[in-house]
Amino acid sequence: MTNKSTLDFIKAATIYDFILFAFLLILALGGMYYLYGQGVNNGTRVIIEVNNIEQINLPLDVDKVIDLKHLIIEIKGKKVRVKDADCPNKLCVKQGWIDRGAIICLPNRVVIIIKNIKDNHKTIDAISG
Amino acid sequence: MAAYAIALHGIERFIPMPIPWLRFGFANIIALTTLVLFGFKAAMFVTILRIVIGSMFIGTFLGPSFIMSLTAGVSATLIMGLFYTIFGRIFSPIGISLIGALFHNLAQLGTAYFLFIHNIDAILMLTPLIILIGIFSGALNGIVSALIIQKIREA
Repeated sequence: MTNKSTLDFIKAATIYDFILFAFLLILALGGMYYLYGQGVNNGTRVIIEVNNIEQINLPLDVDKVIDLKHLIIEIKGKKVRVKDADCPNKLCVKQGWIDRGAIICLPNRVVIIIKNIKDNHKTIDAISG
Repeated sequence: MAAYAIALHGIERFIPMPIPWLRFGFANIIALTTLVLFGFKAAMFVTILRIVIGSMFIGTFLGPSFIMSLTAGVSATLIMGLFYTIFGRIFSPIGISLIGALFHNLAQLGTAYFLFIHNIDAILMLTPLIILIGIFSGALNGIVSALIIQKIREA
């Protein structure tokens, strides 16, 4: 039964299916290499946007808990997570700790992104402080 | 067909996934099967019905995830219909499913960008990963759909 199904599937797939599959795979992997291969991995700033406006820009290596109106964000050990949120399915909380990339909370329109871009004022503050 | 799709749409929520936001898109199996067996109009009808009724069941009707589901589901079905009509001879349902999955994801990311999150960096960062996963779930759905179509035609 299983063998027959497997054979049927191979018969069903055409060469164009495989070409398409390979093409998309190369596209996705190329995109990943391009995006994650350069610099994104070692972001040093945590940028929090609410309603598409940058609200908070903090260093990733300083532990901190940020209490926004709808969610609590925690920075600890060069990682970020959403500790708690008041949205119904709490996908952002379930995503857990991240050390790169982004967490997006759609219901509250919050984007947490780890980047390399520095906020000038904060950088100077960090030196003087 | 719509009933099957709604059931899959609902059940899928309970399958634990390593990354939130990520689903297999099993309901797409039904859209694709309907497309091949009953044509484009039926597939579109099933897709819209599935998303509207499905969202009423799980309580996300008219919320952000409903809008994302709807735009993505409709564009995926539209593209699959187009591809099936034009290239139906050279692609099996597996190829059609891959295209559907790709456009489902692109539409979803596009909707997220235009309606909710205007942070192109955050969206772009997710794009290749989502497309990559979409290739595998799309292929899997295509295989399941191809098998269902075969069984129904044999019967």
